[in-house]
Amino acid sequence: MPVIGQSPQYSEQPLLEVRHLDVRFTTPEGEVKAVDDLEFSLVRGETLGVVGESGSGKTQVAHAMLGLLAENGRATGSVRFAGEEILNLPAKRLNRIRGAGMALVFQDPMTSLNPYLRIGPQLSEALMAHEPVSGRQAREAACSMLDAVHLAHPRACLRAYPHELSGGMRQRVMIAMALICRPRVLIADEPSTALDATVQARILELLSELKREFELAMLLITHDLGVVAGTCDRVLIMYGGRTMEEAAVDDIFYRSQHPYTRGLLGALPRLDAAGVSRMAAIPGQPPSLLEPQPGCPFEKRCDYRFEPCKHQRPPLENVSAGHRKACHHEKLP
Amino acid sequence: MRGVTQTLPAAEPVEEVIGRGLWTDALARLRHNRAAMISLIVLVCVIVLVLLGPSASPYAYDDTNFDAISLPPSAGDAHYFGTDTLGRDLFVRTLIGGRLSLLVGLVATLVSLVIGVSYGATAGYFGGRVDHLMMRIVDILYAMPFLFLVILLLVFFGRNLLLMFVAIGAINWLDMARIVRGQTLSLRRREFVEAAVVGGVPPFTIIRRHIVPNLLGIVAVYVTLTIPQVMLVESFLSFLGLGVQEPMTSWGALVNEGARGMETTPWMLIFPALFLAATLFCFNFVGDGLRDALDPADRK
Repeated sequence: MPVIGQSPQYSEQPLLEVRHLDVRFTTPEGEVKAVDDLEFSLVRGETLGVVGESGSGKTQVAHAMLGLLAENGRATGSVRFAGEEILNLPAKRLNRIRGAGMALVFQDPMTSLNPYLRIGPQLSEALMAHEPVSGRQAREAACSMLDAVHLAHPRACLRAYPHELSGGMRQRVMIAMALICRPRVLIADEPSTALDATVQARILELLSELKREFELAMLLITHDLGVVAGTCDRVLIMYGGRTMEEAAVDDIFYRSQHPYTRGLLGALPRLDAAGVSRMAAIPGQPPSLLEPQPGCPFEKRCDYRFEPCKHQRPPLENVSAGHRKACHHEKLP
Repeated sequence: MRGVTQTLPAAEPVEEVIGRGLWTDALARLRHNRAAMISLIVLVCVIVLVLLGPSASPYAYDDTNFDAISLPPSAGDAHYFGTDTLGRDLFVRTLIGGRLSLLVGLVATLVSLVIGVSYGATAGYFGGRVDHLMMRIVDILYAMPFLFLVILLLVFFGRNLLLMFVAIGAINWLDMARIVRGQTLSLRRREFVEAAVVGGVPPFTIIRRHIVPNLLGIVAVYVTLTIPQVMLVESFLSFLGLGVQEPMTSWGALVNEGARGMETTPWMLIFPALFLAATLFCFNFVGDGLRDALDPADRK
């Protein structure tokens, strides 16, 4: 558990600063706006959780920042890494930041490793792309990295092929791969979704530990509020490509001011719930992003909707210091 | 159950992981394919025979002997396959011709392999406009009448062995490029490629380390099928009289000569044809076997 008030240091210049980020995809059916006017920043040592349902655009945020968008995708706005604008940089210049400045841990460790390459060369590849190291040095670095992610027998692992490792081990390898160039920002895209619950907890523990050890700023993309509670300092709730609410983790869990966040929290399974109550779900489906609505994207599913929600887009407003929400209601009951 | 109670408290079994790659797997599966294994053995025998056989015979491939014209096969005077119309030993000539046929097959396939894989992988990996342009060039080349091109080349530059290798290889890479490009398109969006991209690895390093090794399965199969194809083309060219120059010979050229005297001197046709057919069959069987062995869905 993060200690409140310890890590976020707002006086420091943010490592990562995203302003007015839009991501659009041109599809045969029309233009899809996957990310709509997103803003956030990340300082050293901080973990920001980006939470949303499938299709809320959270993965596209990471892909846009790292220049991984599909061919029909287009990102506009501004992404600054350590003060430098990196959005839509040509690949050659982006490559200096990829891996060495910002690294990404993928969702599915089963498909993220090349089945034909042994773990060792695969790990040291990014390092060799960035630094003039010898093969031996790269191997040593890979070995110590595997040690840092607590893989037993790192030397044997270096010589193993991916299919010889379990899912949890592969995810550890993926994390080691992301960290081998000592990046300053780590983006973890649903790092634990493809793993089962016990392994999941250990991977998250590992990420928190590595974050402290390497002084990382971390962007944790997930659809699981339970994951957020244990690892993040701040949380950004996304819906339909927009920010619904952004706040410190405790504010989200105890003082949420947005109906969608409350809906998500209500849908969490609880051990202390009395009797055999059914889990509360948010009725309805996420909106189609093909036709942008003038109002709030959550309007159709919201229990608190009233007239302005349909026509007017709720602005992102401060509730208190470091707590913002996009909702027409001044205060929720 | 002593074993169970003992292993439970041990948290991490200290065990060396020994890499067992996909190739080891594939080889093991290939070993169970009887047709492919027999073919492989026959191929090795043919290659050894072709390499060592001529030096075991007292005759050279261009030794004419007018006292021994068109002799039928006999073991007595070491004319195991008989002699041809100029009295040259057919056994030696068949083996020497085999050297050339196999060499054309291998070299031309290698040429097409190198060009095809690098071209196809580049087009597929970069995609978009680059891909469009590169594949349209392939389409245009496809539209060229191949045989006409080769005949033109050979007529212009004279009959030259090297030229034949290049000509055949330069035509065959088109198929290879298409196959490789298609595979690369699907590989490019695989997550391990994206992982390398976000690691900041430059594109050509990614192609070399991530794309090409994953293509090897399909390429290996295609190569074993291209070798006989190329050998057939060479035979065909030699049959037309455009191939190798006398007294050098190849299986195709020998078959051509033999076919002329089919009724009177059948051995001149039978032996080279037998070698050619057997080799082609074997390559095809090995290719089939490789395809099955490298198909991960076919694991038994």
